[in-house]
Amino acid sequence: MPGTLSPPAESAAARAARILGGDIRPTDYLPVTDRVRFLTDREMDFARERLKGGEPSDAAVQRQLRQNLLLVHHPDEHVGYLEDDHGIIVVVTGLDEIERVIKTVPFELRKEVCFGFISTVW
Amino acid sequence: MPRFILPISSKAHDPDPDGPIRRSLRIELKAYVQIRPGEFTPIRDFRVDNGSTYTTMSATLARLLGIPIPATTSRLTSLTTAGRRDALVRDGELRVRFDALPGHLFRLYCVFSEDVPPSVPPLLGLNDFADLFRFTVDAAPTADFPFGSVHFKTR
Repeated sequence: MPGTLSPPAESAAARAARILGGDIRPTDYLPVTDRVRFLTDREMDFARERLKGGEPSDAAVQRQLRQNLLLVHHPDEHVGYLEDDHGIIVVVTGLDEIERVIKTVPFELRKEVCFGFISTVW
Repeated sequence: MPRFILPISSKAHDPDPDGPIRRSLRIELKAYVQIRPGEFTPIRDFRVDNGSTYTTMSATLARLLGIPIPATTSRLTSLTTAGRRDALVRDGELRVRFDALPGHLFRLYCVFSEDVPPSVPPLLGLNDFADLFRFTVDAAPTADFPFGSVHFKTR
């Protein structure tokens, strides 16, 4: 809109501090994109084959979807993330940022952050 | 006797358009690794690997996450799928907990390798994960575990 300024983009460090401080927004969660749905549906089709027409449980579908969320949004990256009933929030990416968070954020605030490398090659 | 069940994870991928679609299966276990007394940090992707002699972790990754590793080093030659590999290692210990067994702390002999990059997941090998757990792979699909499951029981 003419005459208005966009709010400044939140830095990765500020975002991580906000989330770890408990201020979580709906936009922080990894979005379920068409690609995430496609990969999940493809895997569940294979599951139905194995189940000879039976349906995988909701828990199995959710587990596959969450795996694909990380694979689609952070392929071949080191991440630190939180997980709750609503989905996955990636708090920090890259070894340098992970090291910074570990060194500067009190343990109590980051104790639920799960670390890992999202490998596209198994 | 404490026990838990893990799903076998599956992922399809297409590394070569001229080749078949590949389907990879793995047994992945989230573990909480002790970094200091009373402080545990979760790591998502420990791999249960009964083809691996030792529980192994990248020394770089361990340092990054604050996991204590010993100063003493030695050389270890092993046979991998890529051939013989000679690595600089530090023999130490991981103290871990698992979601399914809260209140249980397990001590695992661990080889921290300076030659393993941090992108390689830690492996839970026969020495000595198999001394702590009996595990059975069941490929039979169920609604909850369509790609099969692994049953763990403490010894």
